[in-house]
Amino acid sequence: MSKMNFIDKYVSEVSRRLWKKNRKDIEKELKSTLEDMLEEKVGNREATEEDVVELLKEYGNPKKVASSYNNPDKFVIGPKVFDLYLMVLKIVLAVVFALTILGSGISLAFSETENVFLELLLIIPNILSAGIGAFGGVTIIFALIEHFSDEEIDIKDDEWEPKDLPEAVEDYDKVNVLSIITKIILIIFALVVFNFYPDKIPIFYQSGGDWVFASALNMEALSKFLPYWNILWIVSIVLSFIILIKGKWNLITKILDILLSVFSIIILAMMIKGPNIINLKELDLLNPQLAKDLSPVFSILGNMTKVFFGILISVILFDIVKKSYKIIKDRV
Amino acid sequence: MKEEKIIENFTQELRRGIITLNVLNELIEPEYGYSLATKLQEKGIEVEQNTLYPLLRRLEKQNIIESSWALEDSRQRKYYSLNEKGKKILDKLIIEWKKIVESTNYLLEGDE
Repeated sequence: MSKMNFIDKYVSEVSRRLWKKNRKDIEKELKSTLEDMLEEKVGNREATEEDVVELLKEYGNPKKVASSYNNPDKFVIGPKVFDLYLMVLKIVLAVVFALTILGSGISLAFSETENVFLELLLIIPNILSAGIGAFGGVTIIFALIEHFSDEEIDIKDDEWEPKDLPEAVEDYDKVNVLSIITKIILIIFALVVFNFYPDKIPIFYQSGGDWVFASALNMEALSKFLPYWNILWIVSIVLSFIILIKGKWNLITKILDILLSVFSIIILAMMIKGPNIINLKELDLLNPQLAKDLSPVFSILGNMTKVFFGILISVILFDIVKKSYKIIKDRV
Repeated sequence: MKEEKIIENFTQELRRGIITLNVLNELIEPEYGYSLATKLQEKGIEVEQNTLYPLLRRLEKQNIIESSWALEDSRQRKYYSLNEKGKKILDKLIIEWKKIVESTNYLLEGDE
């Protein structure tokens, strides 16, 4: 790897943490400074890779360099602590969701209510309020840290290695063609399977030594939600093609992408509230005894799919926050 | 806290307080960041690059110094220099600095 490549990667690692307004200017200046310093360091001889690595180590952790440029008064949660904030938020939300679901599950198991469905419904507002509470709490704590820290949060210089730097970002709006094509293929697959072969999503069971399958999807529930998914999927495919053709993201496509994520959260929330997406209707016709035996398992499975939707919602929400932050940072 | 650490912290605070004055004074003549750092260092003023560049940026934003890019030895360099407002501010700061030194010296010598 060429030594200049190291400098480029380092500069890129600093600049991607900066706000767009000053990015190009700081990039140029930092690069020329590092080159000057390298020249000074090695004198007349040719600089080696080790020289560059040593120089970058001396210059300091890219996070620290970037944070020195960013004016901390400007942020509720600044770049200094933003990575840490995201990490803590992820962990706290995961734990809160898990605990809420576990707690609701236990109370449901011991409750004597007849209306299990209603009890299940009550889990959703519990999860939501616990999630929002955790989100608010973590955000407030970090905002306070940001407010009172006065640059005392030290970014350690030994926590990074010039050789581990990722490739330099050439273009912040660059499209990852492979991921978009993968996305299109997956969506088309989902469109075809759920629209034309929903009965082929099976459960298998053994009957007299032979494996038999029965459809496990609740067709009624599916027909209720599928139109929304179809709209989402088709718009997603159109958007993906537009992005592929343009070769670049822009503000409009980025915002559309976020809106689609919001839409998917709404559908998932409806599915949590609505009937279970899997059931034993078809198995009941084929093998009533087995259907009866499996019914407790299926009621758990049904709830698990709802928990899964809940987790999916939090993942998408997190992604939306991340994308929005990036949009703001890369535009301002 | 150890004695050396306390002294180091105080010294750092003192340096931090006068760094703007040092930088402004060097920018009577145009300098680019690295040459400025080297010159300051030669005169016994240690400035970390991570302090210097953001400071230059801040001074520019306050409209005290100006900058322009120049191509030199196939390298892009950003030159900074004081503008008229900056020169006036520097003159006043120097007067303030002399006052501080004078009264501090008076205070310190009086205690001896």
